[in-house]
Amino acid sequence: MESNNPSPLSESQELADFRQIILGKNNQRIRDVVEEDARKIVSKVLTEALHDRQNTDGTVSQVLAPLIEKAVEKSVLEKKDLFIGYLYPLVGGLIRKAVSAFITGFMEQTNLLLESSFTIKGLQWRFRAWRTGVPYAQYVIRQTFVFRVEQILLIHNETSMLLNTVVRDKTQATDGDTVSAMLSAINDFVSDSFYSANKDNKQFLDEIKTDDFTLLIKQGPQAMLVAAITGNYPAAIGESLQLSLETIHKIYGAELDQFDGDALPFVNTEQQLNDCLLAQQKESITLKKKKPWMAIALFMAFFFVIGYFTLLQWQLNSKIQRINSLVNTPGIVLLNVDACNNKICIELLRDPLAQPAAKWIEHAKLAGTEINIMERPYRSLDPVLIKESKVHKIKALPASPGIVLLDAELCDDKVCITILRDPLAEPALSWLKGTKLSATELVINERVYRSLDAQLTPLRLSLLAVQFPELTYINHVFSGQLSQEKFRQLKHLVAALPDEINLKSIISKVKVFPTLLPSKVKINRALLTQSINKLENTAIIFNQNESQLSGFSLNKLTLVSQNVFEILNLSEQLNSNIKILILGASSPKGSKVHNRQLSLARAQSVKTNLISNKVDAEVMEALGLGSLDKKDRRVMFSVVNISAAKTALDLEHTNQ
Amino acid sequence: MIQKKVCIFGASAVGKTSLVNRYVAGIFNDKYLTSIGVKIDKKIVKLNDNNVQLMLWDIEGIDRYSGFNRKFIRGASVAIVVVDQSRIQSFQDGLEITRMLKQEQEIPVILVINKSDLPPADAWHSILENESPSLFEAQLQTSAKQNTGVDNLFFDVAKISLNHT
Repeated sequence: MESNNPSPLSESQELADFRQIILGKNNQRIRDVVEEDARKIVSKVLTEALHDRQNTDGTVSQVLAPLIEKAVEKSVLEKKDLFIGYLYPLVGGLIRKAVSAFITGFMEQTNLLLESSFTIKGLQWRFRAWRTGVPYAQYVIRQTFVFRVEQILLIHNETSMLLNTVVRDKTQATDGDTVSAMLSAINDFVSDSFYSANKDNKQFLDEIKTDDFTLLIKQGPQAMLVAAITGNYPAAIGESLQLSLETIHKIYGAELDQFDGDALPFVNTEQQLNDCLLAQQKESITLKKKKPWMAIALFMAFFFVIGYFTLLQWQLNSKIQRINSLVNTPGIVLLNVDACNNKICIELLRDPLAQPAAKWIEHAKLAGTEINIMERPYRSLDPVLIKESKVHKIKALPASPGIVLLDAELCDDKVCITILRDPLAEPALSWLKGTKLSATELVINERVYRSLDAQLTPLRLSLLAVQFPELTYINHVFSGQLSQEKFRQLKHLVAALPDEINLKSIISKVKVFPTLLPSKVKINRALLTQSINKLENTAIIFNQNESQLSGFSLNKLTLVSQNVFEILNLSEQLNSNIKILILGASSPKGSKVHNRQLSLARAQSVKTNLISNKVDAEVMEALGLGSLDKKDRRVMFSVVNISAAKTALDLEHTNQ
Repeated sequence: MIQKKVCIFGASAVGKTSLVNRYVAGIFNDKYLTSIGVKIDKKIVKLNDNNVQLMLWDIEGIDRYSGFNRKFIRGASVAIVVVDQSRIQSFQDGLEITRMLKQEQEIPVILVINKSDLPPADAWHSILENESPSLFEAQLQTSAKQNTGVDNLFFDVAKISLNHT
């Protein structure tokens, strides 16, 4: 029995036919509708779609970045002026910010360098770096960072060629091409050496370690990514590399497949590779955010030193300027002023008549500066100096006896001279003849004085000879006779002559007239008589029956002694020989013998006292007179001229 | 800049490393040191239109009993097979290496007859004419010692590598 039910195959065929009628062949009708509104549909979801995709795998920015870069580059090249207009107001601020950032960074780096250089830690690091044979910079990085990816290489598997590389520190870059090739060769060597039975299970290097670096290798189907890392890296690094490698394969799959040695299409992989340049700083370093005191101190010291030397230089320059601006003085020509070894070196021409160079430079007020003057003599034709030369000539004149130059200076085109001149000296004009200046050029102010110049002495003596005509004057020696008065006058005048003259020799041959003396003898005689009278009227009184001197008597005898000295002195001048008699007397009471003895004792007592007063004992004679009625109990004095007595005796003898 | 991988093969002591040293560093040393594994150098060759950076893989000497690491040839644009004209055996080894290369990868191979400063071995020319030929893309004579033909060799290598894709 044949069934009426359509077979399942024919149903599906019908459905397909129906679908084709509705939707068209290959859904053409729907596609037409969609394509017609494609722009509208895409525009509605474009932003969200981009956002979602970016959030999912981040590939949107990776794809767009190179496109935008190229678009911006093209736009900048074509509309340069427009961009300059936009950027101009921003550039100043940007530069300031950049400079500020640079200085801050530089200060921090310098501080870090100083800290690592001059601190104990720094020295320890240096020592360890030296001991382990590692460059210091690398050692510091190792100590500062937990890990740091230094370089990333993207290598084509098939050809072992480097597709792109990024380096953190450009100075530390290695030859990426050779490294890539060698890595591939090593990889092949390892792969062959540790051959696996299962051909699908290929052996690849995953990590190569050295003392300083770890090469972390991530293998992809067409390319591999190699990271050169210092320090101990975390596992996350591997994942990051793997993600980047996958992204690169996803974006550049076709380029990798068709790679024929031209790495240009892979320039834009730089963004993905840069994402892998990761680093982690050690906490101790990052936490210690402190003021860079050492750098600040170093900079301050640096600027202080610079400032100090600049100040010195400025001071020196200002002094040089002051010298240069000095008013010209006659006879000095400034040739050169310069700084030399912290001194000021001055080169100048100077007329010997001009003021000293050092004095001229004093006007520049350069206290405390060492100055080295190189002076060369020259003859100036400056009118002032020509006049000055006249003064100089006068001052340079040889001295003339009896003329003293007090002052010579310019006054109204003439030379005013002030001199002291002895009347005996030569006339002033005669003296000035040597200067060859005419009298009209000179104003002479002459003051008279008496010169002590020995050269004038002969002239003076000649004049004295005129003053004393009674004397003969030959060869500076006076001879002849003068009265006492005139001789004294001559002596006085000669004494006023200079010391060099031998006075005695000049007047040695002058004799003085004898003069009649006033009767000095008479006077002396009168004085002697007066003194004798005074002595003879003196009496020394004693108490009854005593020969001892009382206190009063002792005082009196002192005066008596002086009286005796006068008498003796005068008698000597008168060539008289005298004797002083000391006469003792007593009262009439008592016996004659006793009285005589008592009177003698009293006279002896007086004599003894006078002797004690240094009266010569020879000139005194003590006598006892015995008793006297009126002049009792005393001692008296009597002076006897022995020479006169002797003459009288002699005359008596002759008469007999 | 375009880079090309060039592999240099040959029997031991034919002068592969000397050729590379002469070309890259401009030096020659009589002292013989056996290369182990592979040594890689690079050099930029200036052509008329553009520059090519050659990555020169100097592979250790291969004798009749040993092969070579076939992975080394992978991705290469040109292979150079160096022979020593004073040793017939080096030519025989060169032919063997070339056949192996051709089996591994279709690649232009350049025959370099080195040590041209030395007299050729007996019957060298007849053997060369009979046995060489179609295997090689080009054939050049060089002397690393006297620096003859070295620059031309690598100039030609650069040109051939560009043509080979």
